[in-house]
Amino acid sequence: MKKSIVVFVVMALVASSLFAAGGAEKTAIQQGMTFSNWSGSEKASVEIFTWMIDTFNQKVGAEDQVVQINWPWGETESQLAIRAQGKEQYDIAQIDIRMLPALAEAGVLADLTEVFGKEFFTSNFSEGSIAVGNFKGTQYGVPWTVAPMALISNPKILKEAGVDFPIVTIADFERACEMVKNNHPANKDSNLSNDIVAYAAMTKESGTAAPDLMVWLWTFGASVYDEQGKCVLDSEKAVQALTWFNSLMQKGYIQQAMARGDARTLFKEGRVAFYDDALMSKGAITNPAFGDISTYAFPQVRPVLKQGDKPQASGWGHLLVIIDRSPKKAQAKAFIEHLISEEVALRYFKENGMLPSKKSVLSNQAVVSDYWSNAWTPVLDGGRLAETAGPLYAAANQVILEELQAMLSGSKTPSQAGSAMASRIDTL
Amino acid sequence: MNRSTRNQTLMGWLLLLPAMAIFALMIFYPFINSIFISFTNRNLLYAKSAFIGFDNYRKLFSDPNTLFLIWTTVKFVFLATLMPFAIGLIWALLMNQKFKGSEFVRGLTLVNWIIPGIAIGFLWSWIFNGDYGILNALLGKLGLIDKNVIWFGGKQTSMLAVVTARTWQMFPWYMAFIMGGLQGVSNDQCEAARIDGVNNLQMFRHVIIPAIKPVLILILLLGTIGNLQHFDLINVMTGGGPERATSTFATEVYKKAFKEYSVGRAASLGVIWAMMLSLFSIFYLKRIKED
Repeated sequence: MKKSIVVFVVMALVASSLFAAGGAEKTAIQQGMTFSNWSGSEKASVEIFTWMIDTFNQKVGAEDQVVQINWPWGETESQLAIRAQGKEQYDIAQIDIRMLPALAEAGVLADLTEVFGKEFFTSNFSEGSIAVGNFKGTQYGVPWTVAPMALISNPKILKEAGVDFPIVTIADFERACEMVKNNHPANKDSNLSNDIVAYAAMTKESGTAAPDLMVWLWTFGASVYDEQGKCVLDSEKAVQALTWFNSLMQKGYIQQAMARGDARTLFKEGRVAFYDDALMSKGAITNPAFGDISTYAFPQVRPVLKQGDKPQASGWGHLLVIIDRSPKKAQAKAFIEHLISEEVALRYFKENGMLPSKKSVLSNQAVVSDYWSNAWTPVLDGGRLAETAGPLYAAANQVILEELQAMLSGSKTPSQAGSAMASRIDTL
Repeated sequence: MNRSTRNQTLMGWLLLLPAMAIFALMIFYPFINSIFISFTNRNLLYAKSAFIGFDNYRKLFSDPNTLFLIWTTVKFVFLATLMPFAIGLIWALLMNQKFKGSEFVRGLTLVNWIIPGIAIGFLWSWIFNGDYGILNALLGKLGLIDKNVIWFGGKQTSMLAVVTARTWQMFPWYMAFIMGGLQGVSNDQCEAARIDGVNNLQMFRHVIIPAIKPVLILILLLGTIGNLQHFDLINVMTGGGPERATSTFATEVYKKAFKEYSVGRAASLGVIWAMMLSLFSIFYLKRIKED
């Protein structure tokens, strides 16, 4: 019996020492610096990210070697916040601009003017790009690639539908949608598999539907919050915007259950006349069967309420940040400088279409002569961050989506939907 | 108690210790911790949290969406249990007949159940997609629709899509259990009933069903518990939408904790969910004990 107990205790000790050894090994792996990102795990970017990191690692010693940590885009914010509360080493991260307010408020990020100096930002980036990485007066992010969302149209479909006028106002936009719906040959035949969606507006997922709707709210002069932080989606202008958006559904120009992935797939198949997307969408919508991309994809500014109004756009971009408790801020700075250097940024642009944000690289001939980037130029000015960005981002967007869906399905009037959005967001 | 008995008891406890340690670490501690968290304002974005009493529960019960959530959960559980159960029962009766290739068909049927839920979710999302889904293409070719149906756009149609996918996934599981029960039906009893002149329907109602009743009750209980916990198919196909029409406790707890980071509120919802689950678990345990 005693022997059995001894064997049991020995086994328990061996097991616990194995756990301890596992932990020690983990610490040994993380001797260098970590670069947390989502793009590096995406098929289209695996190669370029490996190259970016390898070229840096060749220049530095063993103690500053960069190790990648990947997780999906949707988990970046929570992963960074959770891990920052633990003791694991985190140094540099790629974040989406809409994650900045929440992470900055959670105290996860380092003030980069202390690391890089103010001069670094003013001499390398445009005012607009710097602003994207700034939250409440503190510079937390180095702009890596920044370009507001655009309304991407298919000139081929518009031409086939007889749309021969520029889309400047929302009246033009509605007329174009009407012509696509009623005049396009694909919408007249009995084959349902080639029907064309006039405007693939986001109506399925909160992370895309709410920010895209906000741009239409701004177009009508409305906003989500007033200066006191009270939700004003029940205001006259907001209800006007919602009523207009609802009319697109009633007229059959938009449809329920549209996600960004669906819109891209349909656009790639030549079955969408308009949809909203970011500059990086080029890879997802390129279809060699249709020939040159300029014939079937044109990024344009969102139409305005009346001639002369300022076009509205939703901000989009990726920032490079340093985790506040990183002990290697100087080395992290060197790595970020490497990532935005001309050689690396240009290769990233050529291979993945990511527009550089550094002024000297933006003016490079390779960027200037590129159709897609050039077409984006009029959109570049004035992208606004989603008003809901912050700790309540997902919750507020979810409320907006649910009430939007209720309105589009006819369960609620635009006025009821606006009131419900306002009261529910205020009680979050 | 003599020394030998005492040693045996001690050894028994020692052997039980690893399982108890795992239970305590993996189930008991997280459960107790969840109850504790439900009384705090814990948020994933912040390291610190404070005790807020019953605030999370007060908010939960004053939110009209909570009642709707219970309704949609009950609706999903009811449909997603009964539909595959009914099909599984019919399929089991068919598969129980000895015909050429019956074993092959039986094996093939189980493939649905083996495929991971996420993959099934994507598969059925594609089938029901309003613009490029195979279902609309088929209905269009047959002349049954003259414009695409946006299945995930309507409250009823999205529930129908999710329940269909879950039925397709789970009916082999019900079939397998029911077939096990059918193997136990006495041939003598069936033959005696035949001699007495019963038809097929009477045989099914008065001989087969009473014989496999314990199995049917058990799988209905297990199916209900499984559907109350079900997450992956719904999350992939609808994310709980549109207008929360396919939201269940599982998707809502996930959304609250990992999308909205409101762990305290997610935990309070989880406690209510666990209470609902425990009701069925008690029935299940009672049933097992009786059997």
